[in-house]
Amino acid sequence: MRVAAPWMGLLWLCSLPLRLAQAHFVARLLELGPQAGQYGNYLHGVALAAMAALLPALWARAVFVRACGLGLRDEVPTAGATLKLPVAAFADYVYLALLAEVIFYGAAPSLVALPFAVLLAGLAVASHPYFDRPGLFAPLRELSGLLVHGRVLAALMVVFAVALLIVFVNLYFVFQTGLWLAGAIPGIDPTPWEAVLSPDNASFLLVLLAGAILAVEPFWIAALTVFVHKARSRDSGEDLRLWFERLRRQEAV
Amino acid sequence: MAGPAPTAARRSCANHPDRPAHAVCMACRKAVCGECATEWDGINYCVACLAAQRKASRKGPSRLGWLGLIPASAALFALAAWLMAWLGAFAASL
Repeated sequence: MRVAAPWMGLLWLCSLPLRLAQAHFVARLLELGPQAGQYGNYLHGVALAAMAALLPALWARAVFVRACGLGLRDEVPTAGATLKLPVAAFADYVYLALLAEVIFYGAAPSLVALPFAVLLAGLAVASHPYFDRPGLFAPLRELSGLLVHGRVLAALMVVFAVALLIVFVNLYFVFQTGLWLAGAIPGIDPTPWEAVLSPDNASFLLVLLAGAILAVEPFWIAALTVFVHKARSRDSGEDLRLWFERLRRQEAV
Repeated sequence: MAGPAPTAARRSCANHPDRPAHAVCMACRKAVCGECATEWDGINYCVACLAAQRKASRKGPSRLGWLGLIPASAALFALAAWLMAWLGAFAASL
């Protein structure tokens, strides 16, 4: 995480438009209410914009995972090495991420499939460096091998769901504390902001949720990257190869 | 460096049970005899894992894979946007 930290900024920068577009979409829905069905074309336009904002976010996630992967292999994630994403692996990842989006929206009414879609998106980005060929089924086969570690994945999901809640509450209180402190400064009238930063303001809560997701997302991706790296290196013997390399380096010194 | 692993000393070869193990395959962790072990890049592999590594390294670009992947991704993009709008309108009308 320490070596990948500079790439977290890129991830935040590229994910911000996506999260704001999603928050804007939900805010418009709440505003339109029961009349939303009459604004199908408008909503479809906003949804397309949100989906377009997803693409740079996917690229930034892939770059972040690459930086984490280089760090795990004791390599320094230089700009050149990190930004050079293998095309086939990235194309496979985009396909899986879009599939996860379809499952997320398609299965949203049932709520049961939502964690599955979130997990699929996370595992897709964490595993993408191991996709070596473009195809519809090869990346899914790669991911299916990781499902034997279901308990670890379920535990990770619970931990990060709790983390998301905690970050959301903390962000809310940061804004409230800022408002309270602003009231103590002479010449500043916080009254108009009280309505904006109120829990009754749905847009404020949506922006807070977007902020909480932005804050937690790099750690979620990094945790899944470490998980995939460990699971795969045990299966392939990569852990032993790295151990031998370290021994060799120590002997050389 | 990748010589006989300590754990292989008292085991027999996975392919030849009558022979003592000489090394442990780094990919599948099976104990193998000197004949079955091949050292590659300083690491011991059994015959099957070495063949799998060679096969994996020989894989070329798949045109068929790209032909399936690009239209599928474009269709998923359009479907996800449509579902997002449709589901949103449906949820808001409830």
